[in-house]
Amino acid sequence: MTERLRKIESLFHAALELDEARRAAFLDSACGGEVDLRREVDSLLSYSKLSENFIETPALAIIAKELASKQRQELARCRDDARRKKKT
Amino acid sequence: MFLNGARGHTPGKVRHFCRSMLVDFLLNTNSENRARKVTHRQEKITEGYCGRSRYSFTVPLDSYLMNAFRQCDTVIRILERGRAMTYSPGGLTEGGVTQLLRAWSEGEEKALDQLAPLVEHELNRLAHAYIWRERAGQALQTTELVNEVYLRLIDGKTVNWQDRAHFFAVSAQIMRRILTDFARSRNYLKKGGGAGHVPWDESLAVLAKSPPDIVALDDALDELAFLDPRKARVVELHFFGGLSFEEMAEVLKVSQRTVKRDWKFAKSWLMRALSQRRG
Repeated sequence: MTERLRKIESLFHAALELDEARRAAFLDSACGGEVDLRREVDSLLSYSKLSENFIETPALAIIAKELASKQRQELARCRDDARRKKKT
Repeated sequence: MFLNGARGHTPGKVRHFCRSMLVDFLLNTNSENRARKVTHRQEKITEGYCGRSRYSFTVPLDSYLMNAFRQCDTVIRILERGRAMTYSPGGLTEGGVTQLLRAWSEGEEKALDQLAPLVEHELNRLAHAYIWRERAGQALQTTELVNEVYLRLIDGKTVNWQDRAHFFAVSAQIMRRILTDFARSRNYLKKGGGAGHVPWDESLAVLAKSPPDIVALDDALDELAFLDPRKARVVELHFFGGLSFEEMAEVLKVSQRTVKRDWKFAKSWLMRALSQRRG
């Protein structure tokens, strides 16, 4: 891990512990004039709330759910086919 | 996995047939009687639907077939009781852990080959459980089921302490590969491109709500590993390997707090990477 990433990370976590209202002021003073650093931390912070539920469901469950919905569709189609055959 | 061979028919076909009955049951409870009739000592099996093809069997029920149907029947009975995942008749997944362990000691590639069918089998079972639960009007509270599957596939208890960390690490790696390959091969979770121009905020909201594109995530994880290998490993162990924070702390030899911080940071990082990919 680079020194830069370490810095980004520690600012990220420190900012998350503050109220949103106080974050800007904190980052202003912590980043000083480093515009790139500030931009990177801001960008990651903007994703922190959105990503709250992101990948919290294990991959196995995600795929199985997807599989279930595909199978459901496929099977519903088969059932319709079978019914149609019965009628004719 | 039902049987090794039935006279004159490929195991695949017979297995297919068994599954079709099961699936039929899941979809339409009225077909229960039909499935039952077949499972109970009829001399001849006449027909079965699976997919859009129709199979006809006119062979006497030999022991292989009887065995297969008995297992099928067990599954049905257990489904009725709503415990789709807690059964294990006749070792349908015969010691995933044991197999994995044996294969693991012989190299990762071997473990991959042996574990992949087991994982696929578990995926199917899990999918059936979801279908059943939904039909029964139960909420999809399936954390327990998923944990059970992970425990069956990767159970570190049988590994001695020194090997545990390595075992979990390798298992998670293998799970990552299998699941990503699976997702890739079926084109699952592939978000359709070219859906017109979607406003940035809206596409973000969609990204936050919909399941992640596992293949894209796998790529992004490689990039993260380049920046910070430990964070990538945390994601691999937790998301693909199903390890708890406690287990990860043990495997990575850091505090749980550190693991949690890594996880939080990695999630933001990865989500940004995925959204940029889409954009």
